[in-house]
Amino acid sequence: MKRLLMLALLGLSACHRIETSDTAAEGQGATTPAPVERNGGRVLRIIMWSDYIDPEVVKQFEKRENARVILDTFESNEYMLAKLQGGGASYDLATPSNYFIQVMVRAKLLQPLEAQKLSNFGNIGAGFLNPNFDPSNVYTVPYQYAATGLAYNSGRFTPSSESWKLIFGDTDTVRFSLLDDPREVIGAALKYLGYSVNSSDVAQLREARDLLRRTVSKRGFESFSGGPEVRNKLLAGTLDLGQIYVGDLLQGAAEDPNLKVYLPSEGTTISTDTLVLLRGSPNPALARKFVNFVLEGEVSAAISNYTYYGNPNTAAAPLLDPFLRSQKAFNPSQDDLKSGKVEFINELQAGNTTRLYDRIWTDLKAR
Amino acid sequence: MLTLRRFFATLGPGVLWLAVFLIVPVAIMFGYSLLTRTDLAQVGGPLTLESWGRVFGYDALFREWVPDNLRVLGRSVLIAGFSTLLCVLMGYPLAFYIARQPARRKSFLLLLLIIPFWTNFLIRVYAWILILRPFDLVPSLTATFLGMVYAFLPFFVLPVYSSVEKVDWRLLEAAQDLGAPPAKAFMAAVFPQTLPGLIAGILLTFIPALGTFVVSDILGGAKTALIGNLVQNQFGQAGDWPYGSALSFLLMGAVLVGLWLYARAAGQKGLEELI
Amino acid sequence: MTRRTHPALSAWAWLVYGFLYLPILVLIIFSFNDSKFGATWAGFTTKWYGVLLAREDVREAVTNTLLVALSSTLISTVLGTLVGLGLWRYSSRFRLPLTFLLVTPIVIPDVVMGVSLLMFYSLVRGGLELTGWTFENGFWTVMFAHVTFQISYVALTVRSRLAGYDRSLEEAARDLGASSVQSFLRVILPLALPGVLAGALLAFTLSLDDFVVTYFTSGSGFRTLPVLIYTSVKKGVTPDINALSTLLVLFTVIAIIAANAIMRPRAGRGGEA
Repeated sequence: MKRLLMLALLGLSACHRIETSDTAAEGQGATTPAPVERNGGRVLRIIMWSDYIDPEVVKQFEKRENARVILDTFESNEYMLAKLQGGGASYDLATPSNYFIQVMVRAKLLQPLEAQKLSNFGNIGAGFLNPNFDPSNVYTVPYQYAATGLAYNSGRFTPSSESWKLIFGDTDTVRFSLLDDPREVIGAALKYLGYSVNSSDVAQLREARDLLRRTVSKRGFESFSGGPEVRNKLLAGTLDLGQIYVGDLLQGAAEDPNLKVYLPSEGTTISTDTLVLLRGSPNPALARKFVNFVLEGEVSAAISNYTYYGNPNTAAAPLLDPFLRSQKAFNPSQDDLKSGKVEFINELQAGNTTRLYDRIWTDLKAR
Repeated sequence: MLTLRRFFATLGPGVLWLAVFLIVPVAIMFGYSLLTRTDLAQVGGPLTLESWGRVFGYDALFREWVPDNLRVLGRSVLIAGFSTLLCVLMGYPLAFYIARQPARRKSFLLLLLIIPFWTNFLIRVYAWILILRPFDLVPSLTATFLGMVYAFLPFFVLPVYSSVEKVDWRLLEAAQDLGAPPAKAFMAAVFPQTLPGLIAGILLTFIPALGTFVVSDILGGAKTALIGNLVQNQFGQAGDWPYGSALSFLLMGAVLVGLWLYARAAGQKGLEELI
Repeated sequence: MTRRTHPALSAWAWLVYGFLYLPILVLIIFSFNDSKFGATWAGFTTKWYGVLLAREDVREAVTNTLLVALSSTLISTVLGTLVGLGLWRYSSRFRLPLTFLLVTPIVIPDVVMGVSLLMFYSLVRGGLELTGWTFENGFWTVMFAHVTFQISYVALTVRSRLAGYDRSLEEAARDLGASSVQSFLRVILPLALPGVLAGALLAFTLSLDDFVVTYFTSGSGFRTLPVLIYTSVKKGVTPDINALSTLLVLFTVIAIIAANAIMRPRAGRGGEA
C-alpha cells in the first residue's frame, strides 16, 4: 500500500515541477504576474467581472505606463463586497453595478474619483452623466451596461410578437427560461404588469408574485438559467425563448446569426457597471490614469467590441463593430431610457422591500 | 499523567486546530445570527431573535407564518437521502471489487476512482449536460440524481473500501461451511464487518449532499431551491447575513440532531460505529 | 490473499468506472471543438491548446492550486490521522462532543465557512496591527482554511479503518518493550495506513476542487484553478478550459504509468509494509 502514496506524490511533484519551469521560461509580458509587490513599484490592482475587458487593452496600458496590472475577477457584487470588507486584499479599482454604489459609499469603501478632472470625461454620453446612484459623478464613471432581453433562434422559432406576453400571457405553448436572479425575474413581471422594476408597493408586488407563481407552473417553463446556458439551449433547440443579458446573446449571435434578441415592448431592465476608486487604493494616481485611459474612444470601443456589452462612450460609438451597431437591442434608444421604459435596476431602499422581494423569490423556489 | 500526555499528543493538535479555525469562526457566525441587517450585506444592533424566527417560518416584520424554509429543508433531505442510496448501490459492490484485487492493481483502481475528480467539478457537471441533452434529460430530476451520485461517489467508496480491505474472510468460509446460503452467509459474516466504513461513507455522502445546490441548479434547471440555495442567496443577492447565518445553523442543526438521535437510538455501540 | 471475483461484480465495477469516465471522455472530445461556446460540434481543431498554453494566468493558477493542495493535505493528514487514532484509542465522555466537532466542517455550508473565516482573519489582522504586524490574505490563509475542512475527512476515514481492531494491540506492543512512539510507528500506523492514504486522497481531492472557501480567503492576486474557472465559466465552459482539463488528466495518467514503471523492479522484494 505504500506504493499508492508514492505514486500519487510522484505524479504530483513531477506535475508541479514542469508547470513551474514552464512559467519561468515564458514569464514575459504577463497580465497577472506571480509575485505581488508591496506598495512601491507601479502596480495597478483591479477587481472586475470576469472576461470583462480586452486583454490587449490591458497590455497596451501596461506598455504605455510601464506598469503592471493585476486583474482579479468576481462573479457577484456581493462576493466582491464581502472580500473588500474582509480586508487582507488591497485593490485600486473595482467595477460594481449601479445599484451597489450607495452601499459601498455607506460602507466607506470608496474615495472620490473626481472624474471631472480627467481629460476624457467629456466622452461620456449625456444619458449616463449624473445618474441617480451617484449625482454629479463623485465616485463613478460608467464602464459598460447591459439591458435584459428575450432571445430566440430564428432558425427554429418565430415569436408572434416582441412582448413579454409569450412568457407571462395565458397561453402555454412556448418553452421558455428565466434568469436565475430575483431582481431580473420579479422586475420583468412588474414591467409586464406596467409597474416600475423598483416597485416597493405591496399590492403591486403581490400581483407580480401571483403572476410569477402561475408562470413557473406552466408546462413550458424550462428552467432558471443564465446566459451561456440559454444560448446553448437555443442552439440545441431545447428552448424557444430565454430571458438573457443582451451582451451574452450577442456573443453567440456573432457565431451563429440565427440567434436573435429583442427588448420586449412593455419595457425591460437595465444595469450599468461602473469604475470606482477604492479607499486605501495603494496607487490612486495610476488608477485615475487607467480610468482616463478606458474613457478614450478607441479603448472604450475595443472593450465593447470584445465583450459585446453596451457602451456609454460617445467617442467610441463610431468605432464600434458594425455588427453591434446594427443590433437594436445593443443600444436602447435615449427616449426609452429617459421615459423609464428601459429602466435601471436600483437599490431597494427600505429593508421591508428587500424582505418582500426575497420572500417572493423563496416562495417561487419552494413550490 | 502519561495517559493524559498521550491523549493530547493524539487528539490535541487536531482539536486545537479546529477550535481556532472552526469553532471561533462559527461562534462569530452565531453572533451574526443575532444581529440585524442594517444595509445590504451590513449588520448592526440591536440584538434580536428575528432571523431565528424567520428560519422557522415566522416573519415578524409582516407578522405572518411562511413555512417555505421547512418545506425546502424537507425536500433537501429527500434529495440527499435518495442520492446517498444510489451511491450505496453503485459504490458498495465497487469497494469489494477493488479490495479483492492484488495489491498493485488495488492502488491503480483507487487512483482511477479519484482521477476524474482532479478535473474541475463545474467542468464535469457541464460535460453531463452535453451527454444528457440528446436524450432531452436536462433539466430533469433524473439528471440531478445522476450528477449528485457522480459528485459524491468516491467520498462514499473510499471509506467503505478501507473497511472491506480488512474483512476477515475466514468468517464467510465458516458460515458457508455451516451450510448458510451465500447471501445469508454474506449478511451474517461480512456485512457487519463493513458497517463502520459503510456508515462513514454514508455520512461523507449524505451530509455534503444536504448542503449542496450547484448540481441541482445546473442539471435540475434551478426550478426549486434546496437549503443550500437559501443560505447562498442570503450571503449573495439578498445580502442578509444575520438571516443567512441563522439558516446555516438550521442546516447544521438538522444534521447534528440526526446524529444525536442516531447515537441515542443505537446506544454507545452505535456511537462507536458512527465515528 | 487475492481471490477470484464474481464476473457480475467485475462487470458492475467497470460499469461504474465507465460512468466516472464518460464526462472526461466528452470534455476531451470537446476540447477539439472548433466553436468558441462549445455547445454543438463545429469541426475539429487543436487551436484551443495554443490558446491555453499562451495563458499565463492559467499556469500560475495551476501552480497555486497544487501548492495549496499538497501542503494542506500534508498537514491535515498528520493532524487527522492523530485524531482518528485518538478517537479509536480513547472511548470517553468526550466522544460525543468530538463527533460533533468533526462533523461540523462537513455540514457547514461552504459559503458560511468562507465568510466566517474571512471575518476571523480580519479579526486576527486587526489584533496583529496593534503590535505593528500585518499580513495579506493569500497562500497561507487559503491553505489553513483547506486544512480545516480536510481534517475531518482524514480522521473519519482513519477511524473507520481502525474500528474493530483491538485496542490492546498497542498495549501488547508496549508490554514487549516498545516505546509509545515505536508502537505507533511499528504497529498502529501500518494497520491504519490504508485509511490514512484513502483520507489523504480525499483531502487532496477536496482541496484541488474547492472554490467558495478559497475565493473568500484568497485576497488579491492569489488565484487557484477553481477560482479561475468559476469566474470565467459565467460565459460558458470554453474549449480552452476543456483543453486544460484534458491536459491535466493526460498528465496525471502519464505520471502514474511512468511512476509505476520506475518502481516495478523494486516491487518484488519490498512486499507489503
